[in-house]
Amino acid sequence: MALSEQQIERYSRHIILREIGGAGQEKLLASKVLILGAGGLGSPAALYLAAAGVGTIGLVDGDEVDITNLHRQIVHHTADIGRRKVDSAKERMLAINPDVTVHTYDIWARADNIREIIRQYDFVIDATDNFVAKFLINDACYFEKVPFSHAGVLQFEGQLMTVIPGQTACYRCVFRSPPPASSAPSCGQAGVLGVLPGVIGSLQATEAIKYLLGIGDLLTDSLLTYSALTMEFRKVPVRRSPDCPVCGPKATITALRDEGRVTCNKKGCKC
Amino acid sequence: MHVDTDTESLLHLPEKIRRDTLAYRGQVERFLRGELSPAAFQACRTLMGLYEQRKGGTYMVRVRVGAGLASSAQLRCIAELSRKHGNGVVHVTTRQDFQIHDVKIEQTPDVLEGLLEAALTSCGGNGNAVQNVTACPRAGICPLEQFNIMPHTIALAQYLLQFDSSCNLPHRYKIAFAGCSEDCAGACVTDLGFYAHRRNGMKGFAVYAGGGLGPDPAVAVRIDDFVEQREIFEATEAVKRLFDRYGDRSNMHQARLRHVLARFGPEEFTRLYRKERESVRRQGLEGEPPAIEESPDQPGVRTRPTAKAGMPAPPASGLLPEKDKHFYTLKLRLPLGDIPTDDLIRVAQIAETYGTGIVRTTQQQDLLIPSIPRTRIKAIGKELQTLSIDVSANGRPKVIACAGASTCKLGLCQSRELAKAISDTLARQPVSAPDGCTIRISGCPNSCGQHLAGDIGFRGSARRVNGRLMPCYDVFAGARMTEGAARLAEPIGTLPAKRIPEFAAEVFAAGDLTEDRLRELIREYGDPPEVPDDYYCDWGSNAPFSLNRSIESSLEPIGPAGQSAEPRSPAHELDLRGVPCPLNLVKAKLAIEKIPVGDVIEIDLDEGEPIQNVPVSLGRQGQEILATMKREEHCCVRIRRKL
Repeated sequence: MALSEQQIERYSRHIILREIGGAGQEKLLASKVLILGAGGLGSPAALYLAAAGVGTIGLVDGDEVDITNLHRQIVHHTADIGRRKVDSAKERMLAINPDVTVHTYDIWARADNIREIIRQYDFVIDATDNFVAKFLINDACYFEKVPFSHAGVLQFEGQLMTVIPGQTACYRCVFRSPPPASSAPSCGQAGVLGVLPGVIGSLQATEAIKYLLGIGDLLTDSLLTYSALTMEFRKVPVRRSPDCPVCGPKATITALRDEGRVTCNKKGCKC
Repeated sequence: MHVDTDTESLLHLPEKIRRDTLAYRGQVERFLRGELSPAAFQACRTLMGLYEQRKGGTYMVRVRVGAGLASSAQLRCIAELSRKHGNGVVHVTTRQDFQIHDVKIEQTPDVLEGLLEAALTSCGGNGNAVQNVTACPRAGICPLEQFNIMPHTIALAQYLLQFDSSCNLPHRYKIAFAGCSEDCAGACVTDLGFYAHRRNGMKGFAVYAGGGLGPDPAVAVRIDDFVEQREIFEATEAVKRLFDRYGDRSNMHQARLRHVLARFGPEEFTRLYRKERESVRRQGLEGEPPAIEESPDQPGVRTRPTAKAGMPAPPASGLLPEKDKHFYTLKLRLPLGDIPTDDLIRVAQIAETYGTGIVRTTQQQDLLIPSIPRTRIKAIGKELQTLSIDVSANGRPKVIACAGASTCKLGLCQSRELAKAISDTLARQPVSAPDGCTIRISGCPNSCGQHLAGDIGFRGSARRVNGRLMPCYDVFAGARMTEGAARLAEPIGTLPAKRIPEFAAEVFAAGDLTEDRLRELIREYGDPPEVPDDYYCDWGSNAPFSLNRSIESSLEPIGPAGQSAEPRSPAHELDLRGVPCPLNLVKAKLAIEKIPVGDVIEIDLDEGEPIQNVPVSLGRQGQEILATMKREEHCCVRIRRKL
């Protein structure tokens, strides 16, 4: 699959990189990445993956754009309020790069639908905003053996980890199960610095691209924490847990299930 | 109605040309002071019609001669400038231009300003611009023409020269007008060609586009069956916009209009032209197109006979009949298209005395003096004998050559020296050549000698024979240059350069130019049983022929001395001339990715930033830079793929 003259120009700054070259760019164009969540984390991830020429990008989000999203969810514009998030995001991605194909899934990820979507992709980005979804994605990616990037943000802090299922520490190796619903506030309750998911979501896109190209060191067996106020990044080493309920030798979770309300989108409650 | 030397019918230069020419002096001064970089200055001088010659610091000035029409005053001007600032020999080109050679850079402003005073310019003679608008050289006086296309040619050139956009195209843009299908102007092999036709009593043109000689040659396709004469500006603007929009500016070797035609195919190309034409029609033309003078007469054509009928017929050689049978056109054959300045001044005088003071340049590098009354032909014959060169044809074919490797940086072979050798050989024997027969010689594939359009064409090349490099020419025949049925010459074999004069002598002894006969002769002459030593030297040289003829060659040797004299034959080659940074690095990388690890690739790059940046970047990325070399007007880097 040779690059066209336009593609050579569009991706010239990639091709110049020793680690990418024409071969790398062609790899990206042939790759498929799924982003779950077209919100704070999903916005920069979607935009950067489209710009980079990742050939197929899937977007899962059952929500519509709300005005309270706009301080951080930069893929959506004011004129999009009321629109389906996946439609708004897709439009913006294609405007940056008509080269890429965007598949939209205007749904909430659930145990009964998410595996068959994930298995079509090479890499997954968990850009969701709630614990139930995060554990669901972790488990689903384990069962489908698709590597993924986990991340979460709140107030001024964020975290990030890359998981190669069956090889490196998974989310449940570090955090056994979702915290009780009452103990973990949402962004709507605790607030979040708008630019914070921009930072973390961009890092997720970076991990995806590195994985697809096979370059650099992935953030595996390592939990990155970021504190915007103190401007500190820390890498906390983590290991696969021998007691991990999903990826350990004595796994108790062998099938995907919904562990509670998957989304925070209670009618009237806006994150 | 007698019209004297009529400068009003000659090309008028728009104010913009004057402004640009006067600004040029300042640019030269800044360049000589070091305030303008060589790359920036090259852009300026290129648009002023200057060409850098092989001898460092000397330049050739290509003077536009719209429709090939020049006044005696203009001839004198050019002769004087050549004498004062050039080498005293003026050249006529295959596109009807005059050339002044060997001008030092600091004198080029004097030349350009001198030309301006005679309403002459070299603007657009080089560069990505509208080049000379040519016409059949006997327009207005040729018995075969549909109608006189001279006013149209002049009007169009005048119209186009006033716009900046005419100098900012993807590449050169060449336009020609033909008064009939015989196509003495070569409209079938140029970017935009107009063929005169009458329809329902109206004068108009069939429009052809996308032709060209040189690399990737092509015959033009018809894009419009008939445009009325006043619509030529609209049609030209439409083609220009098509060219502007679709010409590939990123790669100068794919940037001509014929490359656009090749990409789209004739149907789509025609459709795109129609679309542009529509939008030009809707938006209207920029600026007011000049009126086309509907004069049936040529500048300087006398319509009243000055002598009785019944005079003896003039001698055949060099005389061409005109529409008005009381007048003749005198053809002066210029050997190699060259005329010394004293002779040129004489010719101007002769034109004034016997003709109307107008002289025409031809696509065969000759001069015409039109409108000579029958009664004065004998006298004019005597005058011609005072010239220092022999301008008679004597039944021999016209030999047309490009500038060749002796002065042109791009040339492979010494085409002019071969031309001379052929002419000398043919002069020594009786020769029978069909009327108007041409031998065309290009020193390299850039085809400035238009070898694909000649009755016999030669294109400079090289071959390894017995391990040594020999100058050769590929031979072409079978060209047909007519409207709608044009055909480029086909290759029929290769000959050592030194064998060609004898080959030509045998061809023209019998005058048999059929392809079968030519092939037979090529077989005979192409494979000499013994190869004398001088076959390995080109015409006009005693040095062994080599391809590395750059006089500033600074090869970094990659092996024992003498290896650099070998011709380039790496496993892979890539031409990135004309590609800017960083796209050239990108394309170099992409090419390297495709070759096996361990293979060598040779990449051509422009001087300046490209050669400074690309090898270094590739080296940093782990490739092995074997050598960087300077060539004629560019540089070259040889790389082995390590990663």
